[in-house]
Amino acid sequence: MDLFNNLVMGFSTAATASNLMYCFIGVTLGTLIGVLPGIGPSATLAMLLPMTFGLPATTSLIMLAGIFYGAQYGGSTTAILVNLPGEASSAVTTLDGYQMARQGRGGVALGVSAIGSFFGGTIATIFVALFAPFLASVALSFGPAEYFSLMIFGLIGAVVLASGSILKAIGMILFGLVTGLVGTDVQTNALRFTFGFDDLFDGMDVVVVAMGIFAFSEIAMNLDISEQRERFLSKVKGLYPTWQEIKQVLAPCTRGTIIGTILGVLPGGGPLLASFSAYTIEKKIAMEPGRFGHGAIEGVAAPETANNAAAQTSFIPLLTLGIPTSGAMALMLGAMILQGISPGPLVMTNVPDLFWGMIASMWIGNGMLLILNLPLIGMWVKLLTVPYRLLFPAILAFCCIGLISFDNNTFDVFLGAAFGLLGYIMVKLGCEPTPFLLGFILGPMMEENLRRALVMSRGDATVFFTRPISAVFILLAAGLLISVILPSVQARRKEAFSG
Amino acid sequence: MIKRMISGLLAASSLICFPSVSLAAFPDKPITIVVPFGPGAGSDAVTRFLSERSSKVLGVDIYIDYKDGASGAIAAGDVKRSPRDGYRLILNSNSGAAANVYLFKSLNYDPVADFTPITGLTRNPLVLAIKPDIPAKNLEEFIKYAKENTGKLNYGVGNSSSMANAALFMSKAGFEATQVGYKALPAALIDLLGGRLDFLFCDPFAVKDHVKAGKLRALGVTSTARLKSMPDVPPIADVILGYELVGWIAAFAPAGTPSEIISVLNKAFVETLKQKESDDYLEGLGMQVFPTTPEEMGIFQKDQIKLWSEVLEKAGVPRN
Amino acid sequence: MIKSGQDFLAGLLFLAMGVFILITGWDLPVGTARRMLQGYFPSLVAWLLCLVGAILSVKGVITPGAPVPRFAIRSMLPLIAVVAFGLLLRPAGLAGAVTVLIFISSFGLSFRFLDALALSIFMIIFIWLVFVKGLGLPLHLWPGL
Repeated sequence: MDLFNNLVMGFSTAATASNLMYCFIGVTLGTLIGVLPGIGPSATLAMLLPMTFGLPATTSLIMLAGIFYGAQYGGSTTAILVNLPGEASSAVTTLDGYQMARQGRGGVALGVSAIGSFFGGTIATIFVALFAPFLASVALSFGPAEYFSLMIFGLIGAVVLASGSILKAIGMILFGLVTGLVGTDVQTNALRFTFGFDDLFDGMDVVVVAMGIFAFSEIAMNLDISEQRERFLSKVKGLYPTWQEIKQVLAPCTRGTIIGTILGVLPGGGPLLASFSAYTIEKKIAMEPGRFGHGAIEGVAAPETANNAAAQTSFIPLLTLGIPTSGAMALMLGAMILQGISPGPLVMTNVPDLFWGMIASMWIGNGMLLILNLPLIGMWVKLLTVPYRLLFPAILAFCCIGLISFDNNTFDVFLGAAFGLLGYIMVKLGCEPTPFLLGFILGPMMEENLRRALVMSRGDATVFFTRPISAVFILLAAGLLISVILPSVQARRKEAFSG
Repeated sequence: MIKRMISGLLAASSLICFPSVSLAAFPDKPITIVVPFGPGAGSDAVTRFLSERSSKVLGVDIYIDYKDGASGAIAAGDVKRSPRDGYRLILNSNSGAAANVYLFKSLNYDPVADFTPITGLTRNPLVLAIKPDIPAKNLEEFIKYAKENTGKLNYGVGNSSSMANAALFMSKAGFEATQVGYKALPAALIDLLGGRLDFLFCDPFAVKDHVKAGKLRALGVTSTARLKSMPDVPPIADVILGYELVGWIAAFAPAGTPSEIISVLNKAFVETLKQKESDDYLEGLGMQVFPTTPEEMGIFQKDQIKLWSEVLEKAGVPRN
Repeated sequence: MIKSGQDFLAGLLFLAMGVFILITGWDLPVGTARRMLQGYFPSLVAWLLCLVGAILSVKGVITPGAPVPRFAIRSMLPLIAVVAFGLLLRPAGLAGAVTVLIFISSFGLSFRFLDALALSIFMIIFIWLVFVKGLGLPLHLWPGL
């Protein structure tokens, strides 16, 4: 039993007093950072990296990893409470989580999200322990063609997750796609759509855009008396999910874990695609898809499970190949190099105590996060009973400071306000912000991979169909598209016949 | 990104990290080194290591101020305006102190006129790695193979060094291949390992273990000396005479800093670089120590500006 | 007559955005499918956006749906407050910018002077402690300090 011995070694490494303490510091900091708007896990890792030089390699990596997955827990808190996705991957949580909060079920949403995150995090860690080398080969088999097809699938999925008009959802995706292209073109190094603003050379950051179109526009909508909408119910229905509710989300959590585990190993959009796909699938297979977008508990459970599972498996390319798949992972790689560990396929054999110690610490850390987050729910829900006339200026102030903390640049504040205005207008016109955000994030990746795939195939577009993984995604996308369009066409026929 | 916040925290952490005794004359207070990248970047290891060790030689603390962004212009602009007293220095690389002259039509600093060189610190060669199913055991065989398949091979580029080396290599070896662009080298490495790229100029530490595991083949190094961490890999110059295009990091002070101060700093850095531990550590990361006199560094820098401009222009990189 | 003002307007907005991208990106080289340049993908997406916009506005003309929405001026208050914050942060310092932000936005919903004042003071202290002292964000509290 190699695995058993390895796990014993891992736990004996992770369970020393100092490693436990740093793991706890890491996940606590991560949760806090996740809750504060603007500051994401990459920024926090960058900030704390220099402080870990004095620590042993394993201890420092345990703490940094804790910050990373702890931030995933915290990011969903603001998504549920104030419609502000702390991380791109929790954007989809706003759809039903925020609606639940408005219906006085914020505590239940937070509870399900914490339990789901724990579930996804721990199960995915088992996969990391058992199948890390296999999952690494999945990452390697994804080339530009596969990635592009996966994104086509993801974008069609974005149409599904919109609850209104299909045409408007497609429009919002395309709008998001072009907005994401602002900045410097990766392939040619040329500037596009920067309109002379130096601050746009590196493009717009997703956190700024999300703050504008989600949080600011939501506040603007809430002040719009012509809307006649409930802001928040001060009456809280149930603080924690009931057994009934937990049983209800068991299947969505399992599906979310599988999706998250697989998509998490992909470079770039892993956790994001995982949460969107998990949501799309739940909505597609639900008996009453109409509940989604109006506070369906599965719509919180599945994506939250998926993005936490993905957060754990996104360590696989780093630990088994030495390849960082996101900004946060690049910082973890930096930490390894600084500690004198040569990242690559030999980490598992050269420093097994580091590899297995980190895996064991992920279990321990996820447990700590659950224990840490459940009591906090009461406090968060209390916050929602504060009268809205006091709550929303405070949220605005936090958001503004978050925007400033981002790059210490007031340009981001104005950009956030501009996206707030855009979001408000779009919502008034019946267009939802989520497909826009997905398009915004996937746009540049899609273009990069499309161009790369066609350069590699010398302009031959059939690669998308001849490469098996890519073909599967194209087929899935086509199936999804048909299943989206058919019901609405049928509905219109019915209308035509009856009318 | 949030560089200022980092530097604030950093000042606090560095204080704990390397305590030291202060001496009379220069330096008698902590020195700050501004770097044009963020913590955790590949060059950060060098910075950390060297500042910690030279702080012992100089007898004062050395703080690191991370100012990444705008291709190094933020860091350079900062130090350019700093007092000429030797307490605020910059570590700059072949990008910020040479290639940027070509890459940006309007640069807010002049890498030669605005700074005084102190010394070279490291040279960072790249390794030419190929996917293992190419039937070439060495560089000659690979060049022969590439010429037979001219126009059919794909190569990745993820930064100006890898782009410039690929362009120089292909023009000297006499074949053509298709360039595939990436934001950074790790993404290109995935496609090389996945067999979708045929060759890539990449950092030695990133490919070393893959070569050991038989997943990649390393055929040549871009420096004229072999790497201690990969002693089996011969210099490309063994096959293509005169081939040498290597990234580097050097220390600079603002222009007009008194030469006595420069020479104190030069002595301290050079002494640090010549310690055996420095050599071992940097070689482990696939870098080579690069101690010079200030004058040598100045001449080297001017040559490099010319070299990188020529190579990048030939590679068809647009100027912004 | 236009049967759904909302759809019609949304369509026009998409159409306008598509046309805007096409015009501003007109001089970007497009390249070929084999070697796409920086203009290829944006113009492709812009054309699609124009198409979707056109279909949506036609749909708005011929099929019934929601009317043109009423835009509330009051809803602009939070956005104005954010812009004011951005403009005031450097000259007026954190305290001034936060106070103005909270007062302007509070006008949006049953404004009470004392509440807004108390909230401003609370937020300034909180932000000062967490973001400036705790996270080291380089902001000054008062003008010029």
